[in-house]
Order: sequence, then C-alpha cells, then structure tokens
Amino acid sequence: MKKKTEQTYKLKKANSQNQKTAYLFLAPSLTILTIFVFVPLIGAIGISLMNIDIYMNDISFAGLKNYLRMFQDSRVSNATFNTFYFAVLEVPLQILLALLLVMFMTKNTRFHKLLRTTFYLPYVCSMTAVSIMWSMLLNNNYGYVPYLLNRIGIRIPNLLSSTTWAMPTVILVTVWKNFGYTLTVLSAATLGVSQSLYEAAELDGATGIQKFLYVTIPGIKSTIGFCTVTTLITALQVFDQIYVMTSGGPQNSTETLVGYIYNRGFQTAPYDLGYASAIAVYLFLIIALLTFVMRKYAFNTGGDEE
Amino acid sequence: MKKKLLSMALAASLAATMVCGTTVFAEESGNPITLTVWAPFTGSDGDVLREIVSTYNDTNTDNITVELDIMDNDTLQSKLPTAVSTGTGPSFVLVGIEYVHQYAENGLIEDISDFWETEGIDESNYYENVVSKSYVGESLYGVPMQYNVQYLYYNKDIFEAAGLDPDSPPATLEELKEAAIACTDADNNQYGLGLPYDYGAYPVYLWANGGDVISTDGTENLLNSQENNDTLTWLQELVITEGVSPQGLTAVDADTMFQAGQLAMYTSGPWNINGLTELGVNYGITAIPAGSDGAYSAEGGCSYMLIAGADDATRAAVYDFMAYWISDSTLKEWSTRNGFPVWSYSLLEDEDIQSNEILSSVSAATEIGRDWHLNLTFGSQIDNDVMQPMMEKILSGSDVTESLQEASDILDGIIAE
Repeated sequence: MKKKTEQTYKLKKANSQNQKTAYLFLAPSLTILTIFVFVPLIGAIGISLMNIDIYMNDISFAGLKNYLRMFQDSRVSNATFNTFYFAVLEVPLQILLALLLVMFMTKNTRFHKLLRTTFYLPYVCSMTAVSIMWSMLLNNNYGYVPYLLNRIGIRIPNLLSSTTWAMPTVILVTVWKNFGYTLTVLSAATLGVSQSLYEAAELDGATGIQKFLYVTIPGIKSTIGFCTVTTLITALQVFDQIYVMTSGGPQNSTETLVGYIYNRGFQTAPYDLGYASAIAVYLFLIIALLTFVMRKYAFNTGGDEE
Repeated sequence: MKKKLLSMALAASLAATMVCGTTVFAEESGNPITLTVWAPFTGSDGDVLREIVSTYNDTNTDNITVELDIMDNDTLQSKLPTAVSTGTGPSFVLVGIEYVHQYAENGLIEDISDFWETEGIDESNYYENVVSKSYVGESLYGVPMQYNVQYLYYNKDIFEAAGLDPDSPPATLEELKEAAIACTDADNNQYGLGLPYDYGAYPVYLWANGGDVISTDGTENLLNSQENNDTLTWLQELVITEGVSPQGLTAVDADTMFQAGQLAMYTSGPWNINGLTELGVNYGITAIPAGSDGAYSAEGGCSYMLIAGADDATRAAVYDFMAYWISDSTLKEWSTRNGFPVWSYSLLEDEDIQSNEILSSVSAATEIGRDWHLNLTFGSQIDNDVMQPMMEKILSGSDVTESLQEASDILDGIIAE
C-alpha cells in the first residue's frame, strides 16, 4: 500500500514536471500569440464600441451604434456575399486541383519531386507581384493573353473590368498561386499511407482510381480537412489580390469584407476606425463559427493517420 | 619695400586663413540634425526628388541631413496618424494639398505662419493661388512644393495619321469629340480619348458645361442638375455609342495605353511628362477644352508640412529645407526635369524657362485651375463613394438619370453627416 502511494506520488510529480516543461515550450508561442492576436482582438472589439477615427480625436463611447449601422449598410451585405462567393469557389477548386494532381504524384521519384517543386513555386512568390503580373497579362488593351487569343480569332471580354468575370478571374489567379501548397501537404500525407493497404487493394483487384478513392482519400482525410479549414480561413480574409487586381471593382463586384474594412478605416474620410473594427469583429465571428462547425462536424477526424 | 611686400603677403595669407577658418567654423557650427520626410513620390519624379534632397544634404552649411522615405500614398496616409500619435512619425511630410485642412484640423501638423519672416522670403514672389492652398484660415500650414492642374495630352503621330493638324489640338468639347472619333480605330486597339472612371477628371467635363458637384464650402449638393445630366449623357455616348474609349478603363491603364500609342488623347497631370519624354512619344500638351461655360481644370499640388510636436531645432531645420526648395534654382530644376509649371514670378523671368516649349505649354494651360473640394475634410469620400461609382456605372452603360440620382442621394448623406 505504501509502495503504491509512493508510486502515485512519483507519477504525479513527474506529470507536474512534464507539464511545467510543456508550458515552458509553449511560452514563446503564447507570448507572441498574446501580443499579436489576443490583445489586438480584444482591442478591435473595444474600438468597435467607440466613435473613433484615425486621428484619435474626440473619442467617445458609441455602444452598439457601429453594429446597427453595419446591418443597414448595403456595401457590407455586398461584401459578405462577395467574400463567400470567393471562398465557396476558391477553396474547393484549390483542394480538388491538388487532389487531382496528387493522383499522379504518389511516387517519390526525382521527376515527381521536380513537378512538386514546380507547382510549389508560385506559392513562394509575393501575392502582390503575382497579381500585378496577371493583371498585365490579362489586360484587354495591352495584355499578352487577349493579344494571343485575338491572333487566333478569339475575342474575350475585359476580364477584370467585367462585373461577371472579375471575381472568377481573381479566384483562378488565387488557385494558380496557392494550389502548390495544398499539393505539397497532400503529397506528404499520401506518402505516409501504408503500402500494405495498396498491396491488399491490388490483391483484391482494385484499379488505380479505386485505390485512390478507397485507400488514398480515406488515408489522408484529416489532412484534407486541415487544408480545407486553413484555406477557408485564408479565403475569407482575401485582400491582396483584389486590392491589386480590381480594387474591389468593377462596381464593387469584387469588394470583400477585408477590402471594405480597409476602405472605411484607411482609405476614405472620415477614416472611421470604430465602424471598420465593427466589420472586422463581424468577419471574425463568421470565420470562428465556420471553423468551429467544420472542425466539429465536417472534418471530425477521430484519430486517423494524423 | 621688400619687407612691406612680405608683410602684406603675410597679412593677406593670415586673413585668408582666418576666412577659411571662419568657413570651416561655420560648417561645423550647427549641431548635426537628421530630419526624416515621408513622401508618396513612387514614380520617376521620386528619383529627381531624391537627387535634390541629396544635393541639399551635401551643400547645406547647417549640418542638416534629410532622410527621404518614399512610400505609396495609401501606406503613407494609413501610417501617418498612428505614427504621429505614438511619436514615431517623420519630422515633416510631403503630401497632396488636399490633406492640408484635414491634417490641420486634426492637429497633425504645425502652424508655420512665421515661415516667411523667419526665412526672410518674400511671399508675394509666388503665385497667390498656389500659396493660398496651404493656408487654413489665416494660418499657414504648408510650403508649396509643386502646383499643377490637369492637361489634355495628345499624340501628334496619331493626329497626323487621322488627318488632323498636330499643332491644333481640340480647344472645345465638340472639337474633342470630333478628334476622338477620327482617331479611334478599335480593331487595331487604338482609341481616341481615354476616359478612366477612377481618375478625378470628371469635374472638368461637368464644370465646362456649367455643372458642379458640391459648393466650395461643402454645404450644398449641386450634383443632380440638368447640366450634369447632359454632360454625363454626352460622355456615355462617347464611350458606349462612339466607342472612343475602352470601357472600364482605369487611370493606370490610360497612362500605359498613352505611352504605348494606343490612346490619342487623355487628361492627366504633369507627372507623366518626364516618362513620356524619356520614351520618345511624340506628344503635345494643351489646356482642357472649353464647354458651353468655359474651360476649367482641377487643381492639385503638394506641400511640405511640419509634423506636430516639432522642437525648435527641428522646426528651424525644416524651415531651412523648405526655403531651399522654393529657391529659384531648386524650383527650376524641378520644373525643367519634371515639366511642372512654374509658380515663382522671379523664375518666370529665367531664359531657360521661357524657351522651354513643354513648360510654356504647361504654364499656359495652368491658368484655368479650379478648386476641387480641396478644403473639405470629406473630399476623399466624394471621390470614392460618390463620383467614382457613378462614373463607373455611367461609362459602362447604366441609366444616367438613375445613376445621377443615386450618387446625389449618397452625397446628401455625406453632407448631412
């Protein structure tokens, strides 16, 4: 009995020491997160309840005024629609394209490594540079793509100046730039799927597509979930490419929530930081809710290979 | 005699040494001071600005070093208020004159009304309409760096090819329309007139036919008028029916197309002169054409402004740099290298200035300047929320009356706030 109590005490002590060590390792990340995420987040909620402009003069308490104003502002609803339009198309396209290419890249040969590196290259480029490049390439008046198409008798509309085509164009450019990252993550996960499962499937006479659908996909389900959640969060915060390629136009057809926050807070008088922060909190709640729902229900991994 | 000569030579050399000593002393007398200035000169004019600042650093005798930090205007505007309130801002800024009132009213910049007296500079040597843009009430808050209006740029080669006289650019809106139609060859991606929706050229057309947007004091909405309706319908026909301008054109695209010889005419400020000359484009500059009410062009420009909270030493050093800038030699360099109009009476007498063809055209075309909401703190809201969305709709074919009414309602809301 005494021996058992001594063992329990030792175990508890060891656990306590382990916990201390764990907190010590977590401390740097937690400090950075506190300074750059938690404090600004609480700050944004506080500012959203104030009448405050960029010059910080005549600050007063506004209560929920900024939030009430937000629900009467048609540009907020338009920006919300555009944000979801972007996310709903961009996220599946990026994941599906990566999955499609993963099918052909399950091997770890030099050629496949070269392909993965090539697809990854746009991801390491600056989004601003990529957006400027595509804007110039696609410009109907002096762009190379419309010029080449024109040479073979195909006339295309001015993609970035069309209310119909501007958003799909921005989405495709984003997919082009980012799918390499998803591809790399999925490829790594695919290489981790046990070979014995493929061998068993082959013995059962499975075709290549069947192996992919019934062995690979279930094997990397949690990684697909991770990619979907992170891509969705990034998509809901889309800004750079839209700012550079369309500035939210034409006729606000590509104006997203982050773009509108920037516009109200920093671009247009009276530089209303309170109102911009209220929209930022609204966006935060949307992202938090969607992330929670997706992690809880859509991609409840329950302990697969990850 | 020899002794006398020797003593004279010694005295002379002693005096020379003393003079040199005094000079050296003067050079090292002031405590070294480093000033920082933020400026949104991201174009080729920024290189010229850098050179002038560098020359000042090398030649000033007061141990002043100016460090120029160039950034795009959006970044500058979003950084400056926070930087100033946290004490991490620059010593002074170089920004558009449309910010003078806004900055002054929000306590971002210092009153520098004693500038002329302190530096011993005659204020009346400069165009009154230019200097007055840096005043808020009776107080001076900035020293002008450059002044400009918008001009009509035209490509002489395209004019000639279209059978037009390259030395007789359009002087009226009707002539502008005729020339634009004559120069348009859409199959070859060549357009007669660039009408970007996001560049503030719209008031010049409205003003030309007697219309306006808002009263100068910002209290009266003048947008929804018959004159404006007629002018906007005329502009819409030019784009949609006549096809003289690409639809959905932005100001950046218009610059590129004019440089590439795809646009025969467009309106812009003088900042393009430098680049066009370097590219060898055969172009001319003329005043904005007149409508039924005359010819007007929106004023613009930049001023140096001293950031709030500057101590005496910083103020004195910034004044010194400002005085250096508005000296005739610096203004001459800036105007001749960048094509900006001259606004100093004494510099106008200069032979080089008088014989410069581009500068003469620009200076002549600058006489029709008109205030475009420069003294209104909500000026950017008029452009971003009212005019640009309205122009975008109208130039893409939306109903003019409806678009005008919608824009007017938004403007009412802004004025009421």
